[in-house]
Amino acid sequence: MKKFILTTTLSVLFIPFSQAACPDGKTYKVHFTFDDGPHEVFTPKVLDVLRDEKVPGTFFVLGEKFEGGKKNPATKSAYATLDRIKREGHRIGSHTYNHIDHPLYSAARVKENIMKPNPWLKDYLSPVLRLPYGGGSFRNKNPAVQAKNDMVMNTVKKAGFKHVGWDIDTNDWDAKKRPTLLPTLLRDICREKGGVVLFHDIQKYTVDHLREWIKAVKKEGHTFGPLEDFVPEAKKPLPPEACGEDSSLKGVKELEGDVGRVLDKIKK
Amino acid sequence: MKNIFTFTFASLLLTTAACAQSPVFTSLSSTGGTIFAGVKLESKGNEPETYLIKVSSAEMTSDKIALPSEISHREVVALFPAEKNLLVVMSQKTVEQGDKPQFHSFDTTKKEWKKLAEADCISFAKLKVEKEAVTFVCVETNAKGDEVETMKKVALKGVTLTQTGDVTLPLAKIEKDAVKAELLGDSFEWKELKVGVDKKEKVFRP
Repeated sequence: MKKFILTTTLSVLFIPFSQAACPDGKTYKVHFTFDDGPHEVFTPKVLDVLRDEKVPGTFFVLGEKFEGGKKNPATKSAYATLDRIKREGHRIGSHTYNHIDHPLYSAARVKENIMKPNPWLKDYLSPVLRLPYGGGSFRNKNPAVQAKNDMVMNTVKKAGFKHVGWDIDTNDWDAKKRPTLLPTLLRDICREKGGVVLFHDIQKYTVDHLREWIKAVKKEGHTFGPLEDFVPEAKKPLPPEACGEDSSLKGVKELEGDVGRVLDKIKK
Repeated sequence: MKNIFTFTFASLLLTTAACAQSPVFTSLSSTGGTIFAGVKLESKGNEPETYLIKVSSAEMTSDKIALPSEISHREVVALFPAEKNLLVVMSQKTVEQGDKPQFHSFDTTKKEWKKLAEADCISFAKLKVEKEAVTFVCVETNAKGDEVETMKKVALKGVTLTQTGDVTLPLAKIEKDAVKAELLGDSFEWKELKVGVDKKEKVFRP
């Protein structure tokens, strides 16, 4: 009896250390996402690592990098990277036109910022969007602030997007938090029981360390899954309302027309 | 045998407790007699709530100081004591991607807040603190795609900082005169603040 109790006790004690990464004895599934790109140099390097490690990712791209669409020669490199992201089976989501904190702006500006890039990206986007800073997606006790957050989230919804936040924020952009990034990531995977992880593919530090981080996560026994494992809407097609095929998007079409006209003038 | 069981159950309880979201310390400053610490409360789906804790080392008591609403969701990254009973608070939005750090002064006597400046630097770990300015050793990516350090100086008009010199963040331990203050726990999620004066010691939680 004594031997049985001792064996059982020792098993309980050593499960976390010998069989699984987390204190609860379990391993979890994660999905890596990359914001603020594409970056001409860094995003292809991120793609190399994901390809080698057979890890699916999602890239939340900024619309301003595709200003004017394919008609604009300056977007050639960004589209080439986007083609590769798509070809290699990763998901592409919108990070809106540029990196503003949406609740601080008017409803018209919020709508413009969410809608403007979609005609340029409609052949690439899944119906997923991540607001810069998550701005608008968090609950706030102040009713006035919450009203602004609701306005932003309603605009996202009306545009046909599912907002995708994150379960784990690596703070890879923050020099003072980088020395503890990996242990914090491994801790947070256990604490959050896996989930969507946030990185930035415009950070050299991230590009330089991504392979090491993926290997460390795998070593702990965790696995990588596609975005649809966490956000089922990700595998749906982009709905027409996101592409401006709606009367309420007249302003966006006009804007696109303006950019086209400006580009034509430059060419002439 | 009893001890093994106690240890086992204690370990399991600790694991469960670690999953709960509770307020954590994010920064520390000490004038010797008075210790200030930044606090952040994060719960899933909600904006972080931030505030300050002031500890009197003589009485070993603590007070909560609310931040003005415009920065009450921004992480308190660093605290700088200043002349005329002022405390300078540096705050930054740290979710998803950081924004520009903001400096506010707090008059600890009049309980008044004032915005001082904003720094054009998102990523940094080292600061050069002078009497009337803070210089960021800013980590940026240049056009070639290399990470470089750029110095960016921010003047703090009307404020004279009392502790100058080079600072590397995070600052989790300070010894000044007979007072010791130390944040305990994981970096940037310190759960306890240990304050010691001579042989007297007390642990504070946010």
